[in-house]
Amino acid sequence: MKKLIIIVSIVAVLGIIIGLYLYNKPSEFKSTGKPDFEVNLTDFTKEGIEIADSIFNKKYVGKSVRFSGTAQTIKENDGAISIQMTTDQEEVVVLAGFHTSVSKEAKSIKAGDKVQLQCECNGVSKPADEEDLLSEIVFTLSRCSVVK
Amino acid sequence: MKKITFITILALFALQLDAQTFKTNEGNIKFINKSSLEEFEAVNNQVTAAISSKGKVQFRVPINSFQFEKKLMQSHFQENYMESQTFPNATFSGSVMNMDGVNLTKAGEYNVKVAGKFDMHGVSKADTLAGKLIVAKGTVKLVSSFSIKCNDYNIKIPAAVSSKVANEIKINVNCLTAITEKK
Repeated sequence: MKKLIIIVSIVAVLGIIIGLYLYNKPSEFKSTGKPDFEVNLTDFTKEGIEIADSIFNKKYVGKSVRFSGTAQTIKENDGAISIQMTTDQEEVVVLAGFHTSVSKEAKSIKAGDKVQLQCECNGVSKPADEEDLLSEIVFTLSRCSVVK
Repeated sequence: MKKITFITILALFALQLDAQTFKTNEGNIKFINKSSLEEFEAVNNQVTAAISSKGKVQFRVPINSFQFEKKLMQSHFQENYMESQTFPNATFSGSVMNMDGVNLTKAGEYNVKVAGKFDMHGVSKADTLAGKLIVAKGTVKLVSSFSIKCNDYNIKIPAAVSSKVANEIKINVNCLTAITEKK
């Protein structure tokens, strides 16, 4: 009986430790490791434009995407860096966001630099109609890291 | 003839002013949870926001761009509560009700009320928000603070975590838009 109580207590303590560890585990601020998708940026945006948003978003949202491209503009907001990538259409915007904790590596990127990034895809947004002020097709990517 | 040319130029200029649009793709929204057991926040720096000189206002918030401190909260928020693969964006579209008292070409702070519609988690809901427009040279900062109720948007918080995740969430909006186009 005493042995059983000890085993149950050990299991309970281990359960609490594992639970607390999982509960307090910090978020990942950048996408690393093997990506879910490795894409050509032009093909990626073309796919997002041509197919329904719902299908594109089901496929890519929350997934890691590695791509190469040219940085067009670099902006800083509250310590977080946002890089707009060059696309072949003016109304198509690809935004790659870096968390403040990795902004140092992003700050080394200058407009015109060719870079390979790995980010988490947050989906595509398209204007609802011609009156929409948000008239661009926007691909949002966050938790980016510089691959090279 | 000179008079007609002058009036035409003036009219065209007035039309251009009337159609100014201020926009950003790097707006900031903070989400603050204050429940009986836990207080936490998440930040989103990828908000698209725009305001026109006619008083039309639009926001688009990519749900997955919210960054939490804890991984478990982040995944529960994205996958279980907001179902971001199905509903990747939350949007607000509305009009400034007291635009007559606002001049986007004159620096200053203007208190505004915006009547519009939220679209979030597959639910549309009309609402009126109070906020502030801070106008400087070529920029308009959109500032607001309001609360939303999860159950209004069919966001289900499991009973097991209801003491940690409040039904009413405070939202702070801070989007610095810059003049971008003249349609």
